[in-house]
Amino acid sequence: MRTGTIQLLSAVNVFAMVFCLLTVPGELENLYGAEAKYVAWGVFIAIGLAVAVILTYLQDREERNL
Amino acid sequence: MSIKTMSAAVAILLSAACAMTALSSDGEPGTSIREEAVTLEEYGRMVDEAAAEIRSETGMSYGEYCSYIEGILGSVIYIHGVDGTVTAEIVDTIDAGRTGFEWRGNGFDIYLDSYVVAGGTAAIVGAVTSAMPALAAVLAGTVAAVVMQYLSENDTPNGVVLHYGCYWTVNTPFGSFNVYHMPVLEYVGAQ
Repeated sequence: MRTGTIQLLSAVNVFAMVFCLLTVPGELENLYGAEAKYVAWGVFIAIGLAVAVILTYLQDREERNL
Repeated sequence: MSIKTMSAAVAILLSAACAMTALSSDGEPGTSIREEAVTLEEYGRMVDEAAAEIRSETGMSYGEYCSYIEGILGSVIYIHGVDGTVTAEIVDTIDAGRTGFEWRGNGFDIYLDSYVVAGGTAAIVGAVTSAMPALAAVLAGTVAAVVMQYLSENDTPNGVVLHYGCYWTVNTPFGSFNVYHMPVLEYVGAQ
């Protein structure tokens, strides 16, 4: 995967994570209480980090290949 | 076009898509008997009137009414009216199955604002962090989200908390939700 594509995916990953963090936990809090909000925060941050780790791995591999 | 410009463009397009989704998910008029924008004070008065009507029809005392509604409804919702108004849609006042009433808001005015803010913030963060390493960008995005969350919770323009025995049907990009209010008939004004 090209470096530029990885950067683009990284930007989309950050966008998606921030958008989800600012909208979904609030909805879940209204429906299920405060605990759901914090669980949602944890889940979204974990997903964002996991995707970032994968992208970082791909980036490193790409740079080694160059 | 550089990759940074392209990332910013994609983030902004995603933001616009989210806003358009929120717009297009506006509630159906359904069986509404009237639809109008009301101030929060008017909203409170109208709900109080509806509650009084139910109590007079059913003969419930205030305590019985609260217990009855409490048995049906759930948690608390915090409504942040940016311009001091909510768009309320009053539907058929009597639900035969529940001898209660429905107060259905389409969620448009309340939730569109938050989605636009969230989409805009995410677009900016995504664009700014697009040139950063993936992990650093996620950490920066998390910090930005925490800051925005703090600001949104501590800078509610009208700071209004409504506690009423009624619910809103909220249409979001993630589906429709019934958001319930506590049946405490009180109105907490601007904080």
